[in-house]
Amino acid sequence: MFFRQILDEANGCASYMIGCAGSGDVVVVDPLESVGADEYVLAAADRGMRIVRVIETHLHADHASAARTVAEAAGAPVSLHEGADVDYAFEPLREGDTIAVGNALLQVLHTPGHTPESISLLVFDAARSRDVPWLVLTGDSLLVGDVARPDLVLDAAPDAAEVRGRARTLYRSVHDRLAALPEGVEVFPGHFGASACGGRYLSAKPSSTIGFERAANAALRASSEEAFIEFVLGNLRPQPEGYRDIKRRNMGRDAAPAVPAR
Amino acid sequence: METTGVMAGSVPAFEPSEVQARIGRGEVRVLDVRPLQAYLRGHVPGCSAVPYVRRQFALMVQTLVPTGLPLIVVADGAVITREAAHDLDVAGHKVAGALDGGLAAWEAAGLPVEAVEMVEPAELTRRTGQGAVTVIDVREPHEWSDGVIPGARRIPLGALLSRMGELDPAQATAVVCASGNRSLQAAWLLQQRGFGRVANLVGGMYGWQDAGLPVE
Repeated sequence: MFFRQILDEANGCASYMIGCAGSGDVVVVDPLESVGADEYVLAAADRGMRIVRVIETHLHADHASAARTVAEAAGAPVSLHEGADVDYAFEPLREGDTIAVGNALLQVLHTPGHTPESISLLVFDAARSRDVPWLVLTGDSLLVGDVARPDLVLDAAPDAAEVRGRARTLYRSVHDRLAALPEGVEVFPGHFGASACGGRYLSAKPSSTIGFERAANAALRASSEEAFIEFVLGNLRPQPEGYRDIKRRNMGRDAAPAVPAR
Repeated sequence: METTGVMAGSVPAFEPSEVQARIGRGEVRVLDVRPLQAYLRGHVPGCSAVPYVRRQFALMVQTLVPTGLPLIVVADGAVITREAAHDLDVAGHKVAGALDGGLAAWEAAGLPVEAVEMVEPAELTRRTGQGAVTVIDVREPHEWSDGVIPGARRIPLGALLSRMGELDPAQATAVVCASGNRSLQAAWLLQQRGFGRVANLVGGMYGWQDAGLPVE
């Protein structure tokens, strides 16, 4: 199985390429405009692979997504959770779907809370084990040392009750589903370091394990669902500037600003 | 030259039938820059091929692609077409354009496709039994002590280009390495040098020995 984490250090964002050198196919997850669509395409070609799909774990509010530009450059589809509210054509993913990329098997887990359409990808390397998952791409749900914020709502005046409800949903995703995975499963999130999407406890290390997060993640160690909700809502850093505009562009609702020619 | 289709950056696109016609008149050379595995699965017969790998492309083009004829690039998508065309231009090649729709369009147009065959050990041993194929083992010398397919020629991958004169391009040829990956490079080099009937042993010598087949 081929697996690479591609980081934007300045903004604390993580993207991924997962595939199989044997089959020559690779999937890109949450590609970053800050890295540039060209880089993903050329990196795949450098390794003798071809991008067959782009997956967005959710609609991002803090950074510009390169999902559509990568997909167009590669002639590949974009996949999101079936409930994603976007203004462009995409291939819907459902809870339990498995995407096979050569030996890499990506199982879709619906893990809402940060956003309603958030998914995680549980990854198996069929060449090693079809039964024991190796890693999980959590997008913005479970982070290293923290969990993602539930308050970046598109509506102009976010309703406190709705935010609370999303925190509750986040608990169920993070505590009941992700934290219940085998402890050896590696955690690869969408954010790390000084990102606006995590709280005060977000680690600068861009990966972890389920077992270590169970032992040392303050949000996961909350004694109850209510304690978790209080912890998450009490832990929020300032909302990223212009997040509504960024999100609308990623949804295809507004045009992106013109990019200067190379 | 007249073009059809949409420009990929500044690289004009040519329809498959157009490209085929120009090949027939000896006006262009096709250069396939797709990943190696894509090339091996199917490509324009007789084309040049150098997979677009950023650090290696310029050097391999210099080694494998003769200048003289303008090039038609076969690539997956506009980004690689643009980058490859830029590097080719810097290397002194004239890029006439790109194959519109890539190899998929070529195949859809019913035009002939050449490929490297993937063979399993059972099939290869059947062919060697009939004397119908020349086997080339491209592993390093220290690996040959693990056992070599009876009758195989031993030419390490790194020496293949310089020793190709020892081989007959008209002969059916099968390439073999340890796992079946390095031999893909050998298959590519042989096709580039005019070997029309090339097969790759899937799984390499590991697979051959797992199948309990004899070695010398």
